[in-house]
Amino acid sequence: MTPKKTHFQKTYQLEWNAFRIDGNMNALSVIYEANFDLLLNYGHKFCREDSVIEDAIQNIFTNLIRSRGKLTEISNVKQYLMIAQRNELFELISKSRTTVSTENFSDIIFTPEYSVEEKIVAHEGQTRIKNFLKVSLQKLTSHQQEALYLKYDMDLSYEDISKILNISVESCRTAIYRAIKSIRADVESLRERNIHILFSILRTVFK
Amino acid sequence: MKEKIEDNYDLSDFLLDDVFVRKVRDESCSDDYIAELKARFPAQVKDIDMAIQVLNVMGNEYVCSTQRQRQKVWSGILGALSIKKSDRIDIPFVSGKKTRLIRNIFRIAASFILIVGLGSIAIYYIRSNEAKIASIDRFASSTKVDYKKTELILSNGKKIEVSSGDSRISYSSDGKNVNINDTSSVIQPVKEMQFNQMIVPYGKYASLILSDGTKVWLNSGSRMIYPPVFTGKQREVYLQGEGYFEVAKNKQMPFYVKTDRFKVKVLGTKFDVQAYGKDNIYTALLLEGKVSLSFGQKLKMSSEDVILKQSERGALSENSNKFSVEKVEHPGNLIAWTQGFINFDEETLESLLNRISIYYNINIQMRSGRGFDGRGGDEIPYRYSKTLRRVLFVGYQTNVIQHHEHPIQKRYYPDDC
Repeated sequence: MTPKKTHFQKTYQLEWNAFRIDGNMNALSVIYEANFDLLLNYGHKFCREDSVIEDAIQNIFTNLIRSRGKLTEISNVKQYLMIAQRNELFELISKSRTTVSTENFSDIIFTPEYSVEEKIVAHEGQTRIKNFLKVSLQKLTSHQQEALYLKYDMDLSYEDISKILNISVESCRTAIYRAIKSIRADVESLRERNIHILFSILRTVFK
Repeated sequence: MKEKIEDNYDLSDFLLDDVFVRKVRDESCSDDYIAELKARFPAQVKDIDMAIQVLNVMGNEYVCSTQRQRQKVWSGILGALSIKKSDRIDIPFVSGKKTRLIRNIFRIAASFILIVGLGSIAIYYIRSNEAKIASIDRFASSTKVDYKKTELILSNGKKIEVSSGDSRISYSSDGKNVNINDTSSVIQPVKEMQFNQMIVPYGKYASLILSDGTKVWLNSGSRMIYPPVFTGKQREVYLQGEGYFEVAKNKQMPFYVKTDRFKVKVLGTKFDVQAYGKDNIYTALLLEGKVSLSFGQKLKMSSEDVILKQSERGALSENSNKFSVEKVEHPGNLIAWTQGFINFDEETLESLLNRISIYYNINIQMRSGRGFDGRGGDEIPYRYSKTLRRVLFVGYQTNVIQHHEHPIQKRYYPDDC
């Protein structure tokens, strides 16, 4: 959707190895520059405070430099960084306050804000549907929302998502499948309701 | 996953089709693709439109960082590693700004100065007021506690750790002999102007019989300061947290429960006092008898005393110096903790969780619009401690939640009604 997202396709393996093997800081800074927005946006889904997310990013890269000797060859730098970001944020958030979530599936709560783009929406009926879908998405579990976000927004594969969420590929597939089914069920109930309203209007008109 | 779009595709099939999603998301060709698709599958136009809507709504807001922000964090990374300035070359931007590390040092220094400053002001204030403040308040403000374990501190400063979940302490009438959990007893010297202290950590509770026969139950995260034996014209105890009192009658010596914001004057009665300073909860609930509420010496501004009637609760709000009084429907529920239970009737889940969060010193987040509506069979998952797991896994419909680690089979005081 946004042109910025094109870099998501790149794996940055070359830069990773240049940094890992030769300690090339230039290569690391390329990875940093290219993935900063990704980590920032991903972080925003867990935490609204920029300063906390910035601290998390700083910790990730500081740790990378410190433990460079222990790093291994990885196939997808983006995925690696996202896992690190998730762990880092969990650390920071749980340190800063003792919050217990009523969610049992996620360590930290994934709370995205779904956008309703008013400018594209021409008339009221469309806004209503959008708001309806928004509610439908928010009804999903935090885990499902995160899985959808990783799949549809980040355009990640099931394999990548399962590694980030630390679940099996199969349960990752199921989570997304169930989420989509739940949205479909909601949409169907909306349609049924609309038909009911239509019928009742017709009935009163033709009486 | 299906490879080709088919006639029987519905909304979910479209959304689960990677090719469809990618093409719709690709702004360069999405319009043509959608038009072609709609022409090919006229029966599914509605589903296609809806799928696009879902994808649009799902499209989260994308924030772009500024270069300054990226620079700031990058300098922080280098600062944290204390890489010398001359070595900081291999970066695409110059970092001339103060690093996070230096800023942090500034912050630490500033807060240090602030703490020292406030501390000396506080000491000055306390010293100048020393004569005015009663000794029990002075004792309370001069001793700090951490609510980590159940502890009884005797007048000679000796600390006794009480290990069980519900501790029972009782004093002999001269205050010298202290009985702990019916199993062990200690003897302490009794002098005037010396105090004992009971500390109850979060998730635990304790009960005491004071030297005058007054019974006190202390709830989680509480401490009470009291003399081993009451002398003088009045009986005074100091409370932080929550305590339920059944005061032994003695008209010659009125009983006072002091907190850091208000005090309760009693003649002989049953009542509950909450003074959780951290959560700003100050209440007094009367179950039997008569009590009057007034402010401590520090707040002489309002001279009004408030008298509570049976089943009434007086509360102090954060910024006001006035008590608001309300009638409580089920006062027994609010003191059920003295028997190791959390009871609730017609109480919203929110206020129930509020109570639990105070007892365990945790925040509980409820996500609105999801899952839990108080019907049978629901459970509130959590990840905190084993005790809390036991508390929260009990369904809301059961009406009684076991509060403490060791449920109490029967009440401790047999002569109780």
